[in-house]
Amino acid sequence: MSADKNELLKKALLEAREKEFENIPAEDELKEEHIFSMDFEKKMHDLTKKNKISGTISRLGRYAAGFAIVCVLTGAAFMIINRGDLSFKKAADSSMAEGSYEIAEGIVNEEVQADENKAASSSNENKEATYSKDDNIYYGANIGNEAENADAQAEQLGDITGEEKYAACTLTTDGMECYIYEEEDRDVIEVLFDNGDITSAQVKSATIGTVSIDMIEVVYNYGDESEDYDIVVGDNSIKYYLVKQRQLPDGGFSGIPTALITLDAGDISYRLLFVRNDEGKFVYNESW
Amino acid sequence: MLLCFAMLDSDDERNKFVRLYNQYRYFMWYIAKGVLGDEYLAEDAVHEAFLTVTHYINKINEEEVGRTKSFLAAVVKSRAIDILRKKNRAEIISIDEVGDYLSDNDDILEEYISEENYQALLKCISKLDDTYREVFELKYLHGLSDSEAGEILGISAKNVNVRMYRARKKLQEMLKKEAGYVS
Repeated sequence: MSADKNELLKKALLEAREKEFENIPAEDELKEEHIFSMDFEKKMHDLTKKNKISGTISRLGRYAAGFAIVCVLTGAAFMIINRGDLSFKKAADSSMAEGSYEIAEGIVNEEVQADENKAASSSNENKEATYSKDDNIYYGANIGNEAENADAQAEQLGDITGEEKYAACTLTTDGMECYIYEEEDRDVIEVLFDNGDITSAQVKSATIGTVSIDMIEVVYNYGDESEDYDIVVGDNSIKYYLVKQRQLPDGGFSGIPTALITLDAGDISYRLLFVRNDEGKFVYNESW
Repeated sequence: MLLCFAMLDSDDERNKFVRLYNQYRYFMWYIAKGVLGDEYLAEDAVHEAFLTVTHYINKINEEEVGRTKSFLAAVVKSRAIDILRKKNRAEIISIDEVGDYLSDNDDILEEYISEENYQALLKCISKLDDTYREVFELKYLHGLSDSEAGEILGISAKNVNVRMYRARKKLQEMLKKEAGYVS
């Protein structure tokens, strides 16, 4: 067939198909119709993991099976989520740049100490690559908690929009920290999320303005129901949504544990999704 | 499977794969569900489709959204049909007995395609059975070889050629009728 007729045929094929696709509902509608199953998400996660695709691919069934933690922080807050026996608290000031950790609470043993050193080392090594500035917006991350990839690498976690606001998240072998703050104010939202096999979570402390709360413990008892936790301090609140795993007849548990953390400071918000891998460690999955 | 994974061997390819997944998974799922009538089987089809996509990641130009959608739609539909075949334990599509086989050079559409006749062409293509449209698209739009198209469609390269011939023939007949040609 001559070249021009060939092009005409191509054009018609494409146009016909595009018209057909116009009838497909918008993605938002489809999302309402269907949430991809955990089995599917796991397969895709495994696929991308085997491909070593970092910062992988999906928002894993945020309200589906598995468990999710949603922390909504309005204003400024400081909080730590951890397992309890492996918790590191990082000061909310510039000590992050120093990579220094203090042990907030817990059992200090050789393993913990080793992890601490590893985290501090990882954080330091990647410090320069972690942050970048673009029109008053900071973003960035250290990805260092892939079990099979101890070498941390810097990666942008997502664009943060907002006026005169800064956001940054850092993942290390020991956890994740997020900052959202305004200009020179050090009103900080900080989250440290450890990589342990979480069977319980504790809010070690939360500081909103000048009011603080301490030691709110949430224990995951595997079950069928989700539970909401709402902590209100002054005009601000921290909210948890826990969707528990369902226990299967064979004693196992359904779904993939996930943790979704939303940092919300009014005109700027940032969500990060973690999924627990086969080794029981939470791995950064996606941010938006 | 490992061969599939090995196909994504650069960061660019991996990132592209992730972008495609994020952008089109629901689109693909909808198409697969249309074939399978089951939302969870449709998920399987999407997964299988993405495995196939790893082979052809370099054939996809993301900027050309229409073509990208067309390609992904063809892949996921084909994987959905594979699943349907397995489910029914019998081949449901068996149009490709090797019989009236002609080479690509024996083009029978040439005289029926023209600028003046474009709307008729568009109308006929819209009405053309998807089995034929897909093979047209894979060959013409995406420039795949017979064996590549065959891999996506789950048929042999020879059957791709046969299907192409039948597609041309069918389209020729439709154009004749639509445009009032007299052979």
